[in-house]
Amino acid sequence: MFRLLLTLIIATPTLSFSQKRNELIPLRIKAMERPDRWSNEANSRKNLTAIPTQLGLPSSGANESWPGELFSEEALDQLNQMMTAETIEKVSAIIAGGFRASEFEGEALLKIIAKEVKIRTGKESKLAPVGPAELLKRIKELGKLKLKVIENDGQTTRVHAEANRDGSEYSATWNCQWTKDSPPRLESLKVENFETVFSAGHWFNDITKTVIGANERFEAQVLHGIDHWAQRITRIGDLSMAGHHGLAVGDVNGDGLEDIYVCDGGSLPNQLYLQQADGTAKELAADWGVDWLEDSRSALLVDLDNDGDQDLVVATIAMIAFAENIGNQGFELRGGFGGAPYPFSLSAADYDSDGDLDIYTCVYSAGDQPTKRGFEASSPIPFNDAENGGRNILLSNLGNFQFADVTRQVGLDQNNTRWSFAAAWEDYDRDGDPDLYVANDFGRNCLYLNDKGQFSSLAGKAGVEDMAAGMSVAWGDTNRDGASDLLVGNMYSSAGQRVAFQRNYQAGKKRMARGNSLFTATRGSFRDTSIESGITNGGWAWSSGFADLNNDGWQDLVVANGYLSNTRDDDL
Amino acid sequence: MTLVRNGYSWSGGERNRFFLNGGEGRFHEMSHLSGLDQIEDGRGLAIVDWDQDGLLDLWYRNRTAPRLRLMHNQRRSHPSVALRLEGTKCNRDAIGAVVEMKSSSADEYWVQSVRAGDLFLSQSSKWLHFGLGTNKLELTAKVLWPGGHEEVFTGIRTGRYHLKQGTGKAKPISERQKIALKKQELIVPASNSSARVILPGRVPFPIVGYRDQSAKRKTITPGARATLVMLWSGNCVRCKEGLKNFAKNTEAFRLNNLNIVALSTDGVEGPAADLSSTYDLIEKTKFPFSWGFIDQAAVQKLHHFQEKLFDRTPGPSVPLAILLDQNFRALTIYRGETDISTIVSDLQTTLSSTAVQLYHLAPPLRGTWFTNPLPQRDIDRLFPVGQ
Repeated sequence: MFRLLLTLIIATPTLSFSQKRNELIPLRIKAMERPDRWSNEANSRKNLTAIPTQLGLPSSGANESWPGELFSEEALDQLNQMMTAETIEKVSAIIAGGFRASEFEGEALLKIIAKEVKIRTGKESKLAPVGPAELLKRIKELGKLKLKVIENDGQTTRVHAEANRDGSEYSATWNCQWTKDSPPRLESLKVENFETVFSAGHWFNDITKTVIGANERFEAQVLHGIDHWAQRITRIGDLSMAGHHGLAVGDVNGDGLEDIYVCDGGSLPNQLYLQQADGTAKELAADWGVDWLEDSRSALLVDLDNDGDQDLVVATIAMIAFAENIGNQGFELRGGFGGAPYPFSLSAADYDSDGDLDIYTCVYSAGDQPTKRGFEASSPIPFNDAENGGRNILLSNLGNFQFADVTRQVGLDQNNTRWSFAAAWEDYDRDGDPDLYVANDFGRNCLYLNDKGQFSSLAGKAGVEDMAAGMSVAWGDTNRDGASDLLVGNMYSSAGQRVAFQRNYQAGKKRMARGNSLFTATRGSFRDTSIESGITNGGWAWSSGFADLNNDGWQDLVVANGYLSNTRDDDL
Repeated sequence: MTLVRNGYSWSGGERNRFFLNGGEGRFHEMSHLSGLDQIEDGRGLAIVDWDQDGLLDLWYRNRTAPRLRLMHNQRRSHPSVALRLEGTKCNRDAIGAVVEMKSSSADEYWVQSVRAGDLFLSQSSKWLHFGLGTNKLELTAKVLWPGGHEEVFTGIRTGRYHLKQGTGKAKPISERQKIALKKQELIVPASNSSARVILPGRVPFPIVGYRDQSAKRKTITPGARATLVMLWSGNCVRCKEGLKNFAKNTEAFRLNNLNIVALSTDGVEGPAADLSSTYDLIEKTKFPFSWGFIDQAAVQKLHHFQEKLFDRTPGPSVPLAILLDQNFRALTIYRGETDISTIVSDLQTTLSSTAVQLYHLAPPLRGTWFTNPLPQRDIDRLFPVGQ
């Protein structure tokens, strides 16, 4: 303990000894006025119309600057009409003379890939002339399709097609060639690759209502979306439309059953659902003293003082709050760290192997005001490789609910302001101390190698920098070679892919909209296996994680996605 | 974001995904087949065997309703083993431990690590879950504890075990009694646009001009009394009911010293507008309070006031009412028809409330603040009068 304190004093000579020991603000002071959050209000009237451009999407009404976009819309419209055609005449009107196509599914063999799951796949199927009657027949066999244009170049559009049928699911990439007419007519449709998965029987049941439906505030807290609240709770009350609020699983009352803490927006109370013997759960946050109204993003249920019960850490917009579990019956707020102005994901690990858990907080932006959050408050520059974000924090556990910001001292302040959303610890080199991977929204991701409590940044050398809009980190051994692979959840946007691909953009920017990345561990570094593994199409993927859901020993991938769904159908 | 605030989607309507690991370096999309293709905007995902039946379940935390979903795994393909580690020489939760499991034939291999916090804003269970596939042999777990110590635990089969550092023994945990958790459809009710908002602080209200019934230009000015500014239209059924009620309850308002100003939005289209329904209503109800017509600019001003306050504001509509204190600061906002007793009760509560009291009154669901409210001078600065 003496050595550790000495290190801290030497490293930060400007701070007094007592200040360093008490970085957590004692709650008696209850000091949470944040006038600095309101200082730049003069800028609040400026609407940031630059945002769509930053993401590679055309700004509204400016399709002319992306000529491909107009063509792409027309082509997609034609395709959709063809795929829902009822008559041969309808089909004939869309295909050009001499139309050629490959089989949508072809004659590929059925392969068993898991118990009761079969697939049929194919690549590069041959083109052959097809008449409208035959084409209509094939279209009807395909089922109800969902189409998205992922790339267009000249008179070609590459399309991602998906169809759900009873007992099977089809997904494919089609290469469509069009004439120069307006609307364009389809000259050929080549199936670049397809996969149909067959599985009978039920996988998952929705038991939400059964488990938490009896709680008094179920309808208010679960059946109203953030948009409902964003119209009823002011920005002064810290309710933001973005809806970035997560959850944490842990056993808070020591009965051997898992409970769950749920974070919510400003002026909405966080929830604590305690599992009962019958599997239902009672919402008891108020009784436990943790029904906080502050805008909460993420939480952790971890034993911070090693006394055998689960303590609680919550990343709120006011402070990172630390609460001690008292006798498996309630929480007592012990204090908070105020230096993380716009926090996102929390993750815990014992970075210095001194026997207690330390806390890492991702801090997205360097400053926000309630009227302008995150990237609306300040702009990431340059957007795909920015270094002007918030500063992530490592809080070292000094015991007795005392924590110190040691980010700089341990070498984690390198590449530390890249607009971070998520991070996860893993002892990936198996040397007994945890290493850290950080996913960034507007900057390259970071891999920090831990060597006895000191970190070096080496994402570039390890091959996992991944210049994409990173939002989620998961480690897992996907190929069962004993080494942990890395999954980074990214934004996948068909619009982003299209525009980014057009020659107006550089290769790096195309990568930004490609989707999830899988880096497979190989002899101390990593190989990007995203495309060959088939996992890139996750949508605007927030949480992307591994779980072996059918118990066959192989880690499957689950994705929770979707950014901001709204009342209108037009999608940006 | 302006576009989103006006009702457009941004990568919305996306269905969640599930990819099955085929074991040959490829994942296969089966989002629909698995039933894990919900359409809400997902944020958090916690992986946990909720009912401890040996199958992993999923808790989703969403932006849109339903804000939580628990998906219960029904896929009884193969058995599993679950391990809960406890450190004695390292952190008690054993966060950071890496567990390598092997079958006695040593040709099957599973590796899992104990983590606290990953994915996005999520923390999954600290139990390590190993799907065993077709393996029927006994298993051995080699644990690399945080700090570097290695320890081997033998005699593991299926079910749940507690592995305590230093004991070398995997202690089996008795199986939980089987529980039946019924599937139920979650129906999200349609949203209605009525709202009653108690503001968390006193918000300065813009100066609004109007024309009274003799077309004279006036402004609503602060007086010694609280004021309720109401927007209505003679063509709106709920407004008609509202005005009738107001006219009948003059006593309640007098007793509470509340000034009423009812501003009709009929006539925003200009001089050609048909105002007969407006005048009809005033006459029929013998409306005793101040009233007049507001123009487009005033409607915009009031709408902008709401847009500054809320991250999402519904389009300008009537009926709308805003309660102001005697210093012309807004206390509450009502959208849609609101009954008089509510308004009077809110007036009585909020008018004499301190800043801290308002801060605690405002949240629509009761909870606890550990912070102090924004000081009045900062609210004044954000909403300067004259704009």
